[in-house]
Amino acid sequence: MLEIKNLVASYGKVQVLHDISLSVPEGKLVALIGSNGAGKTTTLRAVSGMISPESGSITLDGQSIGGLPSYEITRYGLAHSPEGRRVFPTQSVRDNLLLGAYPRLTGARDRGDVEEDIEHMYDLFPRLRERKDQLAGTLSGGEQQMLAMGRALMLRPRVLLLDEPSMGLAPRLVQEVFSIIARLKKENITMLLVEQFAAAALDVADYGYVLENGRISVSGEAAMLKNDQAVRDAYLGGASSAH
Amino acid sequence: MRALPWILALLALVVCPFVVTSPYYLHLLVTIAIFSIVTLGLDVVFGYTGEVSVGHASLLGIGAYTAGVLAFHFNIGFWPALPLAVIVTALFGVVLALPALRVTGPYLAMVTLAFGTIVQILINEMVDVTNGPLGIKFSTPLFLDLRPYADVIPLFDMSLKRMKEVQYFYITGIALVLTIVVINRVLASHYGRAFEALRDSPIASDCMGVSVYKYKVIAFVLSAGLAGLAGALFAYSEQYIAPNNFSFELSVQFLLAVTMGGRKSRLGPMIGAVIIVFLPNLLADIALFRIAAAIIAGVAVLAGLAMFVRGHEQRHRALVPVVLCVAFFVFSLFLEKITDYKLSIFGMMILFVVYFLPEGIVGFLRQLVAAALPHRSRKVSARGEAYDESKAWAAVPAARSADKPLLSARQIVMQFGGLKALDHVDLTVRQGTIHGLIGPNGSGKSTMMNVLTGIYVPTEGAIDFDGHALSGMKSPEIALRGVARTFQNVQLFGELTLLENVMVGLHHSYSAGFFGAALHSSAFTREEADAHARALSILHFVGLDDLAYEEARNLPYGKQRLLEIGRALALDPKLLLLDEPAAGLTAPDIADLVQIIRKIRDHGITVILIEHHMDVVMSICDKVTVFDFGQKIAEGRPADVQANERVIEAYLGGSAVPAH
Repeated sequence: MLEIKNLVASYGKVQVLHDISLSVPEGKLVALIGSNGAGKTTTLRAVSGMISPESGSITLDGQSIGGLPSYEITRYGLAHSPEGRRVFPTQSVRDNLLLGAYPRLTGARDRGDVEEDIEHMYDLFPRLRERKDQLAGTLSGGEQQMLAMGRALMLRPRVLLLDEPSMGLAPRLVQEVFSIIARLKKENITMLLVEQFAAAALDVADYGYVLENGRISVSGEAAMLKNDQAVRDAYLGGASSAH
Repeated sequence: MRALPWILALLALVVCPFVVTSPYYLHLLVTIAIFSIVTLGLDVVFGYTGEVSVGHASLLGIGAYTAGVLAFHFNIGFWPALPLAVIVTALFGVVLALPALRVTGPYLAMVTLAFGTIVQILINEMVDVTNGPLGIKFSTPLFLDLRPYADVIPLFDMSLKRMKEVQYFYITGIALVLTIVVINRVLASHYGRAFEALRDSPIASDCMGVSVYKYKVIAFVLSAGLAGLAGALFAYSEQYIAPNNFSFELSVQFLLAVTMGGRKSRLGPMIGAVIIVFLPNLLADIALFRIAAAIIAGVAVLAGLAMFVRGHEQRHRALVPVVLCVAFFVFSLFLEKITDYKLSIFGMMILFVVYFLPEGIVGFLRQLVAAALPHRSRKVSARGEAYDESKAWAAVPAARSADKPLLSARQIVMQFGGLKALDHVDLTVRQGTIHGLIGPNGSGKSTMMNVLTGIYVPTEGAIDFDGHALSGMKSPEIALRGVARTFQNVQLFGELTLLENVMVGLHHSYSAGFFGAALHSSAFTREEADAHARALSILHFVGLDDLAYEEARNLPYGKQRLLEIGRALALDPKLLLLDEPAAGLTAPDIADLVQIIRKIRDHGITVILIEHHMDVVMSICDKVTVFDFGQKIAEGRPADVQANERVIEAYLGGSAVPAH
């Protein structure tokens, strides 16, 4: 579904990604793990057009999206739930969700029934229904994370990028986020997940890629990576769980 | 080698009068030097602190009229007029800045706009003082009578008029050079770092003991003082001043000069001054203007062609500006048919700069140089530079006595509208301990941090810290009493280097004032060297010394959090508040972080830790307090808290993270 080939990207003069290739098959969940500064977030930002790649190709369902601006990429059906949530703080929860469906309302994508999808989001995240008229900025961190994910899902995405969905969340909410991700997987949503809790991410993922200093060092089936000694030592150490 | 451009520039300044023999052009050069003093000062406010002033022409006017009133009423001449103009204008700066800079936002722009209008009206109306619309005449002073030596110095025209002009040129030249030296020194000192810090993150600046309000006022007053100096020079250069010399339009031109030339540089504002002085003259001579336009179009076409031939990646983006430059030349051929063509051209140039040179001319040149010399290595690492581990810490480590409470907050209520974010909370933190604060998102932990550091004033309740009441104190005062913090959403000074970020934290260690920094007094030089060495040691402690000279905004997230801790340590805190330091860190980084926090505690610094990673909290905290819905629901040793039913239900959840 999503294919990245030989991606190179930089921030200013600093090259962050060197020759990244990875693929996210339809209906599968792929986890991208690695240490801080390895380039995980940068990869997601390059895919969703927030930075423009220097070279390499990015295709979504066979169509090239590399180098396009973000707002056009969303029209191809790629949704990004960014690091740090970035909800629209002075708009209501419902309006945030509606904005997620915006590319559909402009005729670029299948319009579908937006109201029905909002109901679906409320079912998926019951807290959002309770707070539907509240301003997003007044939500707690966990609720904002739910909203960011819901807003991305409102696109009816072909591929969903999730960047650190558990960051800064209470342990109970971390569990909840992971169970929601598992539920989305059951609904056959194709996802690329970046996560600090590497062990938990590999538990729920089908495939995993390990990013090291801007290069893919290891990749394979998630279950295999979890048992790889080098990966265990470097990324799944004792502190990776939230006990 | 680095001094070479400066020496060449000075030489050019000295030689100028011998090359430029036309009094008209020499006068233009003097005007450029004077306006450069204004724009350089304006850049301190506009480029460095990020505030907008549209009243600098009025400040120039205040300086000029100070000289004018002194000459007209008291017969006081040039030399006393210069310092008095600086002082009077700086005082006006204080009066403007004190109310306008109390809050952030567009207030300074609005206040200076009103000020400009009022000043012009007052100069017109206060005829007894200012001679009203008739203006004031001056005569250019002769500083050194060289006429007896006319035979010895055959180099120039020894007429009285020419001698006055040349000497005045040198006087303004010296004033400009001194201005550059002072600005360079101040900006390189703790003052300059404070200006940039408060622009990048006001909240972190306040919490590092650097009062945003105070330093914004200082920057504006410095800028006003320079405008006053320029004003006195301007009065004696023009030999006649009238109210309409100092219009709103000129204020806007000063702002444009800084933007067009390039903010945050010495060269940029001076290039801007050249443009605003020369452009009206250039536009008066249509033939000359056409030649200039033709040259610009030619250069643009050649540069565009070069990009195409070399197959530059962004060649298509260059197409629009090249076409525009050519169109501009074509437009210049039809100038006679347009009535107000000067203003049209000025407007077009502004649009061009805003669209295609957002960083100004200097910023554009820097990009070109960077593109031409991609391998010019910039110093980033401080590895190999001397550091002293012991210097990382305050000279006298606080005695560890876990019995004594360092901080006690009693019955704190924080109300936001109808929402009680904190509802009668008591919190006692004992000296030398690591005290954990946990609880669901939105339970009031970060609100508590903000109350403790003076960002929020609590609705009710009292806070005692180290034997003093903190209630009613502002963030900078609380910081200087020894409370340092980091932020949940990292608040670094992005455009400063890592080293400079830590040095902002060391701001409190300077006793040298503004003049010490401007004159490089021995106390200042020593303090600056000490701060540098100490910042380096702190960076080494948090493991970032090999990135010391990198800009903070280029750091990956996890390292930004470490830098925040380093910056907080620079404050020599008794109490350090860490707000989710492990968020977004991977397992190995978290292990390093735990080591760092332990070492901080071992140096006698008490720590309050907000964190969601339970393994971190449980392994290093001596005591844990649990919040839910703004109330304290549990407190005690980590193991007890972990087993508490209410805590499990509200926060920890049934099982831990999905099985693995």
